[in-house]
Amino acid sequence: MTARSTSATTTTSRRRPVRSRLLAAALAGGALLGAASMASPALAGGLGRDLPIQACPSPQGCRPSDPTPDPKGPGDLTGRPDDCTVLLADCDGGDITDRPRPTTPPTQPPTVDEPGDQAADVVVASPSFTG
Amino acid sequence: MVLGLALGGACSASPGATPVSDTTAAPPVAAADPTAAAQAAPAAAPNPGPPGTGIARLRADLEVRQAPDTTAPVVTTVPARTGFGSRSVLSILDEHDGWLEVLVPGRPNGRTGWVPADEVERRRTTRQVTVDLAARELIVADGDRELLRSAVAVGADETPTPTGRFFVTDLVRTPQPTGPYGPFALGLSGRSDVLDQFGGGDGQIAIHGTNAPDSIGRAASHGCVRVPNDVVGKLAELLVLGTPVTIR
Repeated sequence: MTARSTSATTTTSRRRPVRSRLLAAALAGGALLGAASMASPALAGGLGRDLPIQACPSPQGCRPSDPTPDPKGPGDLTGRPDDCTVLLADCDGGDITDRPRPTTPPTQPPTVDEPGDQAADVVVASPSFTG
Repeated sequence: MVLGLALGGACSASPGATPVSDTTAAPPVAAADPTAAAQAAPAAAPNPGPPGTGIARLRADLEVRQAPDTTAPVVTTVPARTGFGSRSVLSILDEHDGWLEVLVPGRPNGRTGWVPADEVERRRTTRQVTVDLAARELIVADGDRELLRSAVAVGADETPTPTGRFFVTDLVRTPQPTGPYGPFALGLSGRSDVLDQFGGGDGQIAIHGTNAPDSIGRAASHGCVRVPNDVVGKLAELLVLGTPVTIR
């Protein structure tokens, strides 16, 4: 739980640069749309281009298994879901943000004898031991 | 002091303070009921496994059986939580075909049984506690490395501290740090051999702080192991539920 939350937070913090890079790449690819137009969800539909929802692009070939539908419809230039951070967080082999690959889950039961691990097991109670 | 705390099914299922034979004085732990558990258990040597001691954390109430078989008689049912509200744990002694041999808390001290491995969450700890009654000393080690050593108070002659192999069942922060238990008490799986009730409990022993620091180094307790308050705070940081405790 903790690790996933951390991952999501990290990805979210990098969301803007990722989108900027994607938009820049799209412009370089010849999409002749003005910057203001690109921000309009209606524009792509107005052009009759229902772009498919695509997986978040990744140099490592990351392909999320269950893309989140775009809540605003297929509106932006890339057709990517707006909340691409969810998809990136689900990637298991690295992604465009160059986050480190997730560590391999331990094959042995984890050790819990590190200080702090047991904090959740502490209870507050009036003892009734033999004293 | 809260009276009437039920200290779990294993404890309540074993009323009375009939002294039990010391079946846990020397590892490996022997089954408390040799006619059932010991005969039914496989004769194979304990699995060496990875270093440390295995810990089984209960997800729900769990039946402990005399043998690694779903048809074997039930030794006891351990509730998911102890009477103090801690998550129940069992100390793993061995493993066989998807079953875990475990040390069971409560009376009689040293009782063992079997539980399905897939019904518990498994952990390990490399730490262990040894209490030397004669030396009145407690040692915490991580493998072969000593982490802490402290003088302790042990049971008085009429209320001796039971010997054997136990484990930590409760990490209790007390509401009265200057009280008789100090700021923390680490409940153990063992019970007094002579007191079947004390202070509203069933004679469960513990390692705890004290408001009588002068008693440290003497045989003065009712069976518990008293340590200085600063030491018990460190113990609460160093040890997890299920940490093995050998009292000899």
